[in-house]
Amino acid sequence: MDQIPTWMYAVVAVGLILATLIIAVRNEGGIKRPYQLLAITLITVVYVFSLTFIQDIRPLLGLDLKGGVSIVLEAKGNPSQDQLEIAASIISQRVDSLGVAEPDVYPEGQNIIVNIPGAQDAQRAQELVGQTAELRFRQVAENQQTDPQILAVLQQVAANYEAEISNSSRSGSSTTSSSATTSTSSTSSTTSTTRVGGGPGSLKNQASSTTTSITQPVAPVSQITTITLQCGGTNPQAVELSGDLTKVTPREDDVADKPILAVDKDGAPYALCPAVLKGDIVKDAAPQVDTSGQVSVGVELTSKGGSDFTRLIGAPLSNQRVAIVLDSIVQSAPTIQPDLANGLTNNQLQITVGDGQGARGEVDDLVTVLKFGSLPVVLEQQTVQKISPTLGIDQLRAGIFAGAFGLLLVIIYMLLYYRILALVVVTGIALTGLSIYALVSWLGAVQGLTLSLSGAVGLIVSLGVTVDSYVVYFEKLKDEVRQGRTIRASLDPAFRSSFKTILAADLVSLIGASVLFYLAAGNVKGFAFFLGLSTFLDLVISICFMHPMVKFLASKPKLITMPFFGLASALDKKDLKA
Amino acid sequence: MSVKSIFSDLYHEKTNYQIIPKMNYWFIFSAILLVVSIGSVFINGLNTSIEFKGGTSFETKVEGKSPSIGDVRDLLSPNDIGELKIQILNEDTVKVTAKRLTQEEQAQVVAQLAKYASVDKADVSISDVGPSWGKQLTRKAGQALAVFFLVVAIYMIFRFEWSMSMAALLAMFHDVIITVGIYSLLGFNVSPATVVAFLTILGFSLYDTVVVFDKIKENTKVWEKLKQVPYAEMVNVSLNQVLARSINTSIVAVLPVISLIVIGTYVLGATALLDFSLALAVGLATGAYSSIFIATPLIVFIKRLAKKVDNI
Repeated sequence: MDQIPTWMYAVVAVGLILATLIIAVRNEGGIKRPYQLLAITLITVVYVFSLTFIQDIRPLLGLDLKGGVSIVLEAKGNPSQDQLEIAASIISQRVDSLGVAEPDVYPEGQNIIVNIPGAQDAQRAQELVGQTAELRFRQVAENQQTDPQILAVLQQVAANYEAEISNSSRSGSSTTSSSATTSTSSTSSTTSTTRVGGGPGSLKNQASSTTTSITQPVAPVSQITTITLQCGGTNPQAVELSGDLTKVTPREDDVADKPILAVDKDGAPYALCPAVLKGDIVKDAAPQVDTSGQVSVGVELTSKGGSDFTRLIGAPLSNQRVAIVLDSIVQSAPTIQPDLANGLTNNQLQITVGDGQGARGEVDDLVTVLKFGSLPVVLEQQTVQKISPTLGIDQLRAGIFAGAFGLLLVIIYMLLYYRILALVVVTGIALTGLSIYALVSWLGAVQGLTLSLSGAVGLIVSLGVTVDSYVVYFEKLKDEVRQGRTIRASLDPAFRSSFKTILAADLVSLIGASVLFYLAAGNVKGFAFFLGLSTFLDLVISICFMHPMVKFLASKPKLITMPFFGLASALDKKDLKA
Repeated sequence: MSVKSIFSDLYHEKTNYQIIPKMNYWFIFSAILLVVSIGSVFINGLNTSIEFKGGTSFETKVEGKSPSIGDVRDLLSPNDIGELKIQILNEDTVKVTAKRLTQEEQAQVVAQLAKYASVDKADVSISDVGPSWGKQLTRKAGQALAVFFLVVAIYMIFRFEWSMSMAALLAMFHDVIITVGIYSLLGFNVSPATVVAFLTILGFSLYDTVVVFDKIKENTKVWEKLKQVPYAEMVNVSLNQVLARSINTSIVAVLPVISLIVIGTYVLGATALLDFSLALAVGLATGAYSSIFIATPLIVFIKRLAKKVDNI
């Protein structure tokens, strides 16, 4: 019943971690009060680890461990970061249409990375991802609001689209980088005013949501096989649209010279005529605000684009609506103002959106879309990796076995060399392991960090670095004792000087990991991240656990002078002083 | 001296090996290794994976029979898709590497392999790499290497005196060249994983060196007050003092890597692990050797050249 909210667990975790750090710093790494530090460290690690069970989170596995298709696309011709983001969000939308859980699409440098988990048809994914997204200008069918058959079809399309969206959001679809994805909230409730007259030609953007005042269906949609769209304005044309009229035209059937059924970002449906012009007529676009606070998009067309616009849209389509469609999604559908028939001044156009906060955002979106459309990002497929789920499981199993076996070898070696002292190493590794597991689970849940094979290898490799910190400390301790001090008097100086060495050596590792992380791509990043993470944890654990633990053991004089404790035997001293 | 007594001496820190006085031997040995490595890279080149050249590879587990290279070749050669490299991994897995294939050709090969292996088409893994990807990879690796050297050099100069930083960086170059050389000589596969491993080795090689140098730095402080023995002798004593620790470091670092190679590759057949762990093992070995036999003697060598310290 009374569920404890997640944030309370998180607050306790952060509090414990902070407390540990504060105590560690105030006690100079356990030099002053080892018990206190040891206790809080153990509590923190155990608490953080048990959180993963309470919250039921576990590490997210990378595609190479659970199977899936990973595609790297390289953008040609130095597109801007904005353009890459749009290209990525377009691909993200397309991948969402596959209906798989948790696809991941993101730009990285000049590349776009597409990760689709699960057993996938690699070819279908490549086809879907590879096409260049085009911006097209399509007239909205003149009889969209009047033809009962079209009305019925559009209502069905909208309903099906709505159903699909709520389905895919329930299955937990992509949360990454989707600025232009399908939100169902209605944001475009902006009122638009008409700007007529001289200066730049103007289009009026009718708020799209107002167009869907569809009332009653006429005939069952399943019986409608063809609808006839009225297109062309003053050069009227009847265009027939047939096929599956119950849903949005699939992307592969969306060709420039054919009519389509499409929706806008809010899910409002449109019946659209064949494309009249493409995005290449746009030279530039920028947001504009006039003195009355009215926001609009100023569009500059190329000189050829300007004359084409007047010939194909401005003159024939007066008072008609023209949809701006990017990758089958209607971005805006402004009404063409009559003054545009007379041609453009300096190839300038203005798309009036309205005023208010919502309009501002809409203008920015439209500007990015138009800029993108003027020079679509051409993507070249660089690599495709398809890992079958069986191979993924094999790799995961191999990684776990190799890690466990490696750990076993290290522990046996440590036991042989350090006897009882080696138990400190074993416990330390266990604590580091628990912390890493908790951190990786948490980063997976919050940041979507995945554990790939290379990440797992990074963790296994870092085992050496972790264990070495103990070796440095123990050897230093022997040195101090060899010089004639008692064990207890040797502990603090040994820790101080060995920690300097550990820090120096770990810093080199951290430098390497950070350089790799920032410069490399893909799975190399994973490796570097996990190597860096565990190196960092090694530093924390050596302060918060290693030294206080040894100090704790040193308070039992009988124990530490025993031959199998690991100090006496190495030092050949029968008269070892505790 | 028996192996047992060597171990016992190491354990009780009683060794007194004359590593510094015999440094010319190590230098000559390393010089030969370096010449052979560089020569081999020029003559044999490196056996790079499709990630660097572009190409398509397929991998699938075969159900119900043990696959044979001949069968697979007979099966695929009628497709006329150029030269094929066919490998059997871990006795039940077929890997086919070809030039870059079109999507239709890929679909064809996947269908044939799936049928041969009695598995679903979705169980055939594909890796397809375009021709310019390798350039991107190489450029990024080069950048990473350059930045790493720079940052590490700056760090070392702050942490140690300049002759030590020089020695450490030279030893690092030594390790990279020899590792690449071994790859070239033995024809090991160079994949992106190998490149990552190279970069990791640099870190390890330095890590080990830093620990040894820290000891020398510590002893130098004491030595500077009295200068009873020559600098070289002090370094030799320091080296013997950290020998056990340095060997321990290398052993604990190499144990998990050996486990990766053995378990990952020969027992369970996760081939992706092999490239990586092999490079690590080779690099760790050279790193362990160089921090004791190259990096440390180099400090003395550089100091002698610079004639900065009296009583060397």
